[in-house]
Amino acid sequence: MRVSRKGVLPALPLAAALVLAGCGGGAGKAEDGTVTLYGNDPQNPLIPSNTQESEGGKIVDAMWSGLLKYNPDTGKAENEMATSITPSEKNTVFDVKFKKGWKFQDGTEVKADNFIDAWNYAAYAPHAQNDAAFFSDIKGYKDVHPADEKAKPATDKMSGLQKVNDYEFRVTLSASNVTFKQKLGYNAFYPMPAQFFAAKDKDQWAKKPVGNGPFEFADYQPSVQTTLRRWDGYAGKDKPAVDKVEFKVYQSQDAAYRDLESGNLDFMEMVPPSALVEDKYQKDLDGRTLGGTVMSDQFLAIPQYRDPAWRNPDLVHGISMAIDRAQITKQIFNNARKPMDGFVPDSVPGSAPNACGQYCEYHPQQAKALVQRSGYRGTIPIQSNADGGHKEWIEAVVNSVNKALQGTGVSLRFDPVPTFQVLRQQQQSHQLTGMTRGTWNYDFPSPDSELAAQYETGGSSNFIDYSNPGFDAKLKQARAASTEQEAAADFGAAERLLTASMPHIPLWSEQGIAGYSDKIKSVKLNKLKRVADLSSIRLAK
Amino acid sequence: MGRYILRRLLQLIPVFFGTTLLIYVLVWLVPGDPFAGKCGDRACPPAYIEQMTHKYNLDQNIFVQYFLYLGKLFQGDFGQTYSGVDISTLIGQAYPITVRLAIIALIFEGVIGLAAGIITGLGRKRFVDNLVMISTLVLISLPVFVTGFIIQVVFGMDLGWMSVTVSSDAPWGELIAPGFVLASLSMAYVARLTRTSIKENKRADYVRTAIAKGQPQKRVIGIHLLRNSAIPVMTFLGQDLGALMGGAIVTEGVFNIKGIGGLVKQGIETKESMQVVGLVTILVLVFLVMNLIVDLLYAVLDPRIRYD
Repeated sequence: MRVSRKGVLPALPLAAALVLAGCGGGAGKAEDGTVTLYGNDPQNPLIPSNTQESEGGKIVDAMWSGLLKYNPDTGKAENEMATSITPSEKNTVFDVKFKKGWKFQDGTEVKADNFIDAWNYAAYAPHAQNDAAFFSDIKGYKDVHPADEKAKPATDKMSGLQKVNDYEFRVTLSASNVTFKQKLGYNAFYPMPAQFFAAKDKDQWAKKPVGNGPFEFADYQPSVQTTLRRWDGYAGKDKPAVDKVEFKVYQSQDAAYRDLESGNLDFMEMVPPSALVEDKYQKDLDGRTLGGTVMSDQFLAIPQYRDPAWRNPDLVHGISMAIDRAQITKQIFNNARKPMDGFVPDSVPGSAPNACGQYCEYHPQQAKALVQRSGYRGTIPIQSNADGGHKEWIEAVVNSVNKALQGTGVSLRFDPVPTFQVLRQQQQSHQLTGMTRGTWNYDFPSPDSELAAQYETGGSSNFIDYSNPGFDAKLKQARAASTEQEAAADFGAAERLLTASMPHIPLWSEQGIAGYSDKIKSVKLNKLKRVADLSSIRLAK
Repeated sequence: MGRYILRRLLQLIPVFFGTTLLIYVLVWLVPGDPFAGKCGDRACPPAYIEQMTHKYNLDQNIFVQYFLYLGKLFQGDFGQTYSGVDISTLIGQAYPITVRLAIIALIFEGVIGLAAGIITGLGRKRFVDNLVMISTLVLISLPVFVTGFIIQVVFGMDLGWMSVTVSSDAPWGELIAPGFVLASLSMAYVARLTRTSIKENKRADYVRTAIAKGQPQKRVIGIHLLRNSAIPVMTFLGQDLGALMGGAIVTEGVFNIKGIGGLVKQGIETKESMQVVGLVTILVLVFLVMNLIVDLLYAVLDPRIRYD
């Protein structure tokens, strides 16, 4: 009988176990001056010009400084290393001067050759760098990166890059482009130290990379964390206040969020959907949250090569007006998205206000009339992978449209595709059989980033084969403008041309909702990349 | 016995080749170019795709690829992830943690599960029996992530007795709570299985014979009843150990433990095909060896089973 009493309490050992764990635990608490941020494994070797996804981008941006830096408040590019970037009258030649005495973390000085060599390296096709296309504005790009990528390039140097002296160089573009300057803060344009070019195995070098930014590389434990140390030789003006940053890998956002609540994690740039329900995060984090529109938007794209009837603006306008964006962003996304009123999110400097007008508003009656006027009848599929939360919102869109257009004979249908790769392949090989979804994350703060890639004839992400000579001409005109204000007016006009033909149905832009622990007093969110601005972190004393 | 073991070890070879080939083909032949989705919502540069395709031998016939992979595998080279991390490093880092977690879980299953099963199987107390039956029913009906979440919130966040997630080096102490969560379901099964097995065998002929022979009760229960009743439980535990060694995707996810299960999940999510193939190959080996050990244990427990 004594034995049986012991056995009936399986909960006792658990309680004991937890007490033990409590004693052994506490290792998650970081020492002072260390900030732990939500992260993941970088997907490519840590070479700036080969980094285009956000996890590698977080590390690379902390380790390097470019000519320009994106201001976390305005999103605009401002001088970092550069002292002046002077465009020629037509914005075809940019004269770049930068600070003397700025050093790499190996002690060598950053000179003009470090920029020129790095850019040539990145653009050279056989190096297969992910960001090569960023250099396509520069004169001579076609010689180092032929359109047929298998062909051997004629040379490995772009003729548009000329050294003036050690601290000045000249960039000549193949066509005038006022927005080129805005691109220079992107990580593809970072300078590289001489040891990088000397290294035989670049991927091996990238295991212990050397940059010129506020943090230096300390350690990378795959699938665990990346650790960076503050580098005191940093020559920039925004010296970081923290000693060490750790980008910790989490398997689930929810686990990370519970760590954030209990103080084991200090920053998370996106609180998980479960915490957004009824603004739960506000209470959980006691107001330690950051918000604001991030330069990223989501849309439905209509392949122009499929059914000619889908190019009828009346039909697309009607469908767009049958989507209750306000309702869906509230109920499905818990306000983590904001309805779009144009093709460019309003957080992008130079975006035109309300470029889409009534066509991006919910007007079920007008929608019906427009669709009926188009004369189209049938069901249009929306192709997408169902994972990643896409199924929910696509079904909400389908329901909203089908309800509003009831009786018109036009309806939508969600057509799931097994994986994201299959979807990408269908998009790229022009085999879409219906509408599809898409997201655009801005690479540089100008409408040009999205407009050129998605809608310009032959644009790098123009997988719907949209081609509108009037629009192309407007974009060219915008880039050739002498000031950014003038350019903005032309970009706005270009956006309105898109509204007229509607190759995409704009849906919503992303509202970043970041959270931080009580260890951090203040921090800013980089609106361009949706990451913490590390220099802005101030610790609570 | 020796010949039996040798025969079983030889059988492992075709099984190993068959399963790894299947895994390799399944992982690399999934529809969609593995690099089509690598660059987010943008198209990857063709030069990048070409270089990666060449690096991973994807321009070869799938069987040639497989044998190239095996050739490297036998030299201890599991290949690299797309970001250039050696997969053997990842495994070396994660496996000790998974083993520690599996041992803790197995101890919970063995000690609490067996104890509760034996007590209810042998005893006649209605209350105790009901308590064990109901508490195991609760554990069986709760999904593991719910159990994990409750323990995390109650003991980690509200009471503050343990850290909410496990730190990266995962010391034994921090793995106790996750180990309990991981074991909870199997623990309940072990308890029920032991109980039923003992109750059945209590009425078996050999037990009646042993009692009739006038053997002391201690011997009847200890040698005859319990040893024979342990066979199904042993099978279950052996299988379970194999599963535990294969990592626990859900539990590891809840507590952010850097074990094998998490690596497999991460590999699948980020389409790191090489990582998935390498890990699953290891898991196949672990399963095969565990099965062999369980089969050998039968002979130890049941004198009727002979392997020659």
